[in-house]
Amino acid sequence: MTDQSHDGDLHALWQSQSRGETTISLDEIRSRARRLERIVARRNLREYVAAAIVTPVFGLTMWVGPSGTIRLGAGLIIAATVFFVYHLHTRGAAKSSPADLALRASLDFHRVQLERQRDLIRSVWSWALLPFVPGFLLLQIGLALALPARTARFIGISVVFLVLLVGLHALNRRAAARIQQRLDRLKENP
Amino acid sequence: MAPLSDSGSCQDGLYAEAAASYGAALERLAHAYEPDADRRLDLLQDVHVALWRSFASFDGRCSLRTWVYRVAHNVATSQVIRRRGRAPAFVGLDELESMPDVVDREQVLDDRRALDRVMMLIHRLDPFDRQVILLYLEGLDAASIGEITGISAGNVATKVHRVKKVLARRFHEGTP
Repeated sequence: MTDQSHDGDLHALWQSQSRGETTISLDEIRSRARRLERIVARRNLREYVAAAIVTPVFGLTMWVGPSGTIRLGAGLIIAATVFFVYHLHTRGAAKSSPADLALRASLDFHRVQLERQRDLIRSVWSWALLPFVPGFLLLQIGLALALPARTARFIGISVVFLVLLVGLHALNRRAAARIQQRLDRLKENP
Repeated sequence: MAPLSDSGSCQDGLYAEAAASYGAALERLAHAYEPDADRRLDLLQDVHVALWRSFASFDGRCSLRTWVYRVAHNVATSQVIRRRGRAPAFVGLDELESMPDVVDREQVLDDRRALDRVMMLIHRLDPFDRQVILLYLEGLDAASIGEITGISAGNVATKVHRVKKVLARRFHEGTP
């Protein structure tokens, strides 16, 4: 069999599978686009609402907390929440536009997607988790000082919290390293 | 619904033209990226939505075909990468070439099954190699594939040649 006839066989075989039977109307497209926008808006709103709930709760603690340590801890959690929301907002604004899908060649698009995924995994620790650690620990210390009988419980909660953070960080580092390997392979052999 | 503006009707017109010309190719693409029927329909709809949205900014700097294929492959690849943790591991062309042949000669006589086998190989391929092969199967030449994917035409030709060798080995050995 010649190379050309083999090509022809393959193309014919491939193209025989579909004749464009699935039709999607413009109204369906518009309604799906609106639905997708609503999903993204709802997801963002959920995070802003969570922040809006956290702030007054810890704001009240900051105001009427029984000790300076607890008040300071609550203040740090509010600061961490504001920092988190700011990052969420700037990340949302930096997302690619619909036209980027067409203006970037696939190799470039693929590379940018992987880099974005790697950077998100690498950095989520520093803007979504770490900022809450000082406030959380200060609160536990403040509570332990206010309720000495429950000190062991507060130490236990703090240890579990820190172990979870370290474990999550280790998992994220591994995932980021795997993505980096794919990026390196893409550079060597596009 | 509000009346369409000029740019809106241009966007709709471009989308209608793209859907009419490349609808079948987009279905095949969805099939090649997503084995599950429900998810495939979802992917196809996402591709159509992304295309329609992208046409709001179409400025003619590349052909309609290049635009459509770039959007479609970029949407599909993003979804595949996002779901990668739940899917079987992908293989590159090197691994594909060294995978053992398990050819059932009876099967190659049946086009449907031959197509299923091609599809199985494609589903295992790394998303980027997959783009190149799918564009080749759609009948695009190396230069056009290079424009869509961003790799050199020479590199495209090498990749296509290697995959064709694997496919020929698996589907044409022993046929009269």
